[in-house]
Amino acid sequence: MFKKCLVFVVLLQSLQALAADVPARQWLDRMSHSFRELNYRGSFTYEQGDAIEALHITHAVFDGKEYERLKHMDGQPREIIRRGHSLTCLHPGHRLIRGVNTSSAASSTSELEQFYNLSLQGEVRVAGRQAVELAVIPRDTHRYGHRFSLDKETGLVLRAVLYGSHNKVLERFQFVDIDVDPQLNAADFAGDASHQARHDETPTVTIGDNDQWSVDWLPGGFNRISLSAEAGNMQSFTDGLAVFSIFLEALTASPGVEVSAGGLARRGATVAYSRSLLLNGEPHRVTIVGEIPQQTAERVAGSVKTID
Amino acid sequence: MSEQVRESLSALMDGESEELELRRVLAHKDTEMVNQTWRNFHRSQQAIDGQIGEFSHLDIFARVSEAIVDEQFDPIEQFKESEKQPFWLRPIAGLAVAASVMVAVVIGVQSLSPTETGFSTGQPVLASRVYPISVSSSGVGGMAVSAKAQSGIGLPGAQAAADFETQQRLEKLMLMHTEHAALNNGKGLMPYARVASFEVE
Repeated sequence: MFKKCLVFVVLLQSLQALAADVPARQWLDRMSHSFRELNYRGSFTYEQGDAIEALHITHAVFDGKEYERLKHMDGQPREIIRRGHSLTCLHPGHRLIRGVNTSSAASSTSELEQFYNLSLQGEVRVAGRQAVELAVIPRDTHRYGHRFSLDKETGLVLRAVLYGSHNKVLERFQFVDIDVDPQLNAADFAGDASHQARHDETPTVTIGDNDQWSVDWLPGGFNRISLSAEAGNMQSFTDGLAVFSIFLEALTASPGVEVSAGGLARRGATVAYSRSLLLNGEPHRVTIVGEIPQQTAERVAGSVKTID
Repeated sequence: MSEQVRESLSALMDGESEELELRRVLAHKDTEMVNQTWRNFHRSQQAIDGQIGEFSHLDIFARVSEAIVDEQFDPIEQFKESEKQPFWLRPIAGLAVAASVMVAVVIGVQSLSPTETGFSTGQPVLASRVYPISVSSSGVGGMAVSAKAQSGIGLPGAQAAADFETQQRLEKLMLMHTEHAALNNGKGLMPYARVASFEVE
């Protein structure tokens, strides 16, 4: 996946071409890369539904490579360390925010703004810093709304709130205090090997490569994220802010064995919806996971089909 | 009319009557006298408060009687029933009524919740039965995930196992999605926090 990165220079040029746009867009753009390009250290809280977690983050860039250390401050001591994600690697989400369409069609306005209404709503103080309030309101019912408080000096997200239907808060991320541009070195990201995160095997059965199936219906503005070959049964889509994934697996129904075909789970803003589907006469299970409303997930799930 | 009834009526007016007193008032044979006393009490009260007696014409007996008639209470039928039943069985009928009221309340709440969340199932699911299980991760910071399996086959015991399997499977897929999504949206740290919250065992 990392090999498919674009050259940064190309993006900078496209960025300049779009610089005449509204300030709200520029703030969103700043937000999309500042958190990856800057050095900072701070504590933040993350709320999902009625649960809250406290985390500490250390982020730095050495020789164009991203280093990140995310430490849980409550409960069992545990942390996630990411080392060496190349900064020139840009993912579709960032490109959509910057108005660079993933498809070849060049559009003068950001595709994002066709589906979200962006507006600046004054200044607030978050984590002891001056911040700009940016409201990102969806224009249809297939995505959630956002409210970002962006650091006036750096564009870092100091607070992000995700709203569902009836303005219900689904997730809230907020820095408590943050230290921008602290003295950091590679030793700050040295980790104990015994604490390495385990990678779960893909729990699904591959039915073939991605080109054998697709969807008939997608909510507007969602583009497919290209995946590596090993993710044969998974396809992901993003509109720049929201991301959802489709998992497809063949169901092997043997007599006497219970096959649970459908299901629904929710975790903060993330919904997982499963249903069974007949593809080429064979029973399959399709699961949609993403930060999208349940109804949208159901509609996408119902539109999965094989390509003849 | 005894002083006792007058006292009970007074207590009823002040909202301080006990059930026994209420029964005493309602059981009194001279209905007109009780009504008149009731009205007099109210007039006195209103005169003290300086209010106009706009409720003075109300007939408490008539209203209560109307309410009872509306409930389609058949005293003869009820009498026959109570004759047939042993004395100790009678209260159970009352309990049954109370229980049915409770069921009605529970059903009412259940049917309300989908509209509150703003979600409705747009597609037919495999089974209409809802089998919720919620598993909270242990330790501080554990996020509760609730999952329900929808299945057309299987016994209740197998269903519980299937639900657990569904939950496990959906959580795995959620983690896969979240890890992938973290790299692919421009929202900053929030997706990473989402990944981190999945690391709780």
